[in-house]
Order: sequence, then C-alpha cells, then structure tokens
Amino acid sequence: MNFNLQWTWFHRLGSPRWFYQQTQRWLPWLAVATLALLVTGLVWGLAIAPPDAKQGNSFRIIYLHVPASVVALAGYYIMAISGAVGLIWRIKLSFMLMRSAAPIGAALTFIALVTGAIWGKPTWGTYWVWDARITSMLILLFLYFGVIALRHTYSNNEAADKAGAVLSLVGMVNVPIIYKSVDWWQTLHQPATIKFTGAPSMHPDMFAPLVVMIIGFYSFYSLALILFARAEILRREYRASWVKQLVSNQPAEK
Amino acid sequence: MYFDSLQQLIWMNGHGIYVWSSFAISAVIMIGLVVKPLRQKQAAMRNIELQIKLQASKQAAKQKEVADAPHS
Repeated sequence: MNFNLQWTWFHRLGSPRWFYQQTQRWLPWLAVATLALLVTGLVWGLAIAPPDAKQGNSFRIIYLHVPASVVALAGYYIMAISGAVGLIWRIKLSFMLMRSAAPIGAALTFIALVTGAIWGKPTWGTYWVWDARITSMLILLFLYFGVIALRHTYSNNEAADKAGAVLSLVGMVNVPIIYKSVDWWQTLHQPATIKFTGAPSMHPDMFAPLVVMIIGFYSFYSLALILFARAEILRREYRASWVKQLVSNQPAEK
Repeated sequence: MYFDSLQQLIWMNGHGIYVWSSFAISAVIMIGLVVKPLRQKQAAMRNIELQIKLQASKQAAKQKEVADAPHS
C-alpha cells in the first residue's frame, strides 16, 4: 500500500499555498455572511427584543458580552490545538494559525471584560469585582498577551512557534476553570444562560437574537483568522516562488 | 420594534449610555481586527515587491559588469 498517497490530502491541508488560494474564494462569502448575521442580531437584540424584567434595557449588553466571551474561549482551544498540531506534525501553517488566533482571542476577551464591566455598573453597582469568573477571564487575556509577546522575544521563528505552542497548551488548564467558575464559586457573576444540557434560562424572544449573535461572532472569528493567517503566510513565505509570482502578478493591489 | 421612538431607543430608560458605549467599543475593536491584517498583508506585499526589484537590479548590475569587462 502506498502510504505517501494516503497522506497527500493531509499535507495539502497543511500547505500555506493551498490555504492562501482556497481562502481567496471563501473570503467574500464569509464577509457577507458575517455582516448579515451581526446586523440582524444587533437590530433584533437592541431594538426588537423585550427588556429584562429585573435588569431593564441594560440586559441588551448580553448580545455582545456572551458571544464575545464564548468565542474568546473557543478561540483559545483553536489556538492551543493549532499549536499542538504544529508541535506533533511540524506543520508550518498550523503555527501560523496559532499566531493569528492570539490577537483575535485577546481582542474578544477584552471586549468581554469591557462590556461586562459596563454591564456591571447599572446591574451590580460597580464596574469591577474580583469575582471568580471575571478574574479567570482576566487570566485568559494575559495568556493571550503571553502568546503574542513570545513572538517578539525570539529572533528565530521556529523557536518562537514552539514556545507559543507550549504556553497555549499549558494555559488550556484555565479554560475549563472559566466555564465552571460560576458553579464552583458562588460569587457575583450570574450562572450560564446557555447550557449544553437543558433549556436556556431565557425567554425565546430574547434567546433567538443571542443565537444569531453567537453564530455571527463565530463567523467573524473565522473571517479575522483567515485574514490574519493570509498576512502571516505572506510575511513568512516571502522566499517561496509562488509568493513572488503572486506579488509580481498583481502589483496594483493596494 | 420594542421602543416607541428613536429617542427612546437611544435613551433606553437611562441604560442607553451603557448599551451604546458597549456597542461602540466592540465595533471599534472588531473593525480593527479586520483592518489590521489587511494592512499587514499590504506591508508584506510591498516588502516582497521591493526585494524582487532589488534582486533584479543586482542581477542587471552583475550582467553589465560582465559585459563591460575588457576582453582579453
């Protein structure tokens, strides 16, 4: 049996060139889908959904806060798994995805923290408390910052990749802690609205736009990840002949 | 629509400032997440373009040197 033949798809998947050319076609569709989902979700959530009986209109911050948090956490898994795949199979593209995931994850975690703080003022009477959920999210932000910072501490790309992957994998311990923090410690942050088992603790009229926003944020995440990865590919594969050809073929692209 | 008027939508019974500031901050950050990689890509392309030109001019200079060399 030809072992090499079987694994060609796997190697093609890890080829920066293949990724760059494929995503060129996906980008416009993804951009349109993202924009449509986010606009629909926001108009629905901010203007159409009824206000919360206890929190009033301030609850509408949920339509940014929850999707940003959910995707910031999922993004950490994506970054850590990309790092692991890079370490195990030595796939360059995998490391590029890992590096691209870091700034997006950091930005989304920051959005989650800031919107949470703003939401806290009218609801809890304070912008910040050292609650278990909030503190573990802050640690997530620092883990993302760590992965971003590591790239600048090494002059060697490969060493920086490996260090980043190891840090992402070690930091993965924090993610389940964040998920469980509202159950383990009874503090100020309210328990999860959406559960994997059982119905959401939310009226369908309020829940539907939240689902649209979460899908929209996932779509946005993929879009941003692809854009960052494409820039990273050009930056690191500058010696490759296909990159040189690409650049000399379209010098007008500004 | 839940709100009766545009003013009410903006005011949101006093919560508008919280809701809309959250929205504005998120929007700015997310637009940044799209603009930044596009700029990085542009910069990378410009760098590669420069390198190609540099290489071409180096090669041309070399060829000229060979051509100008006195025949012996």
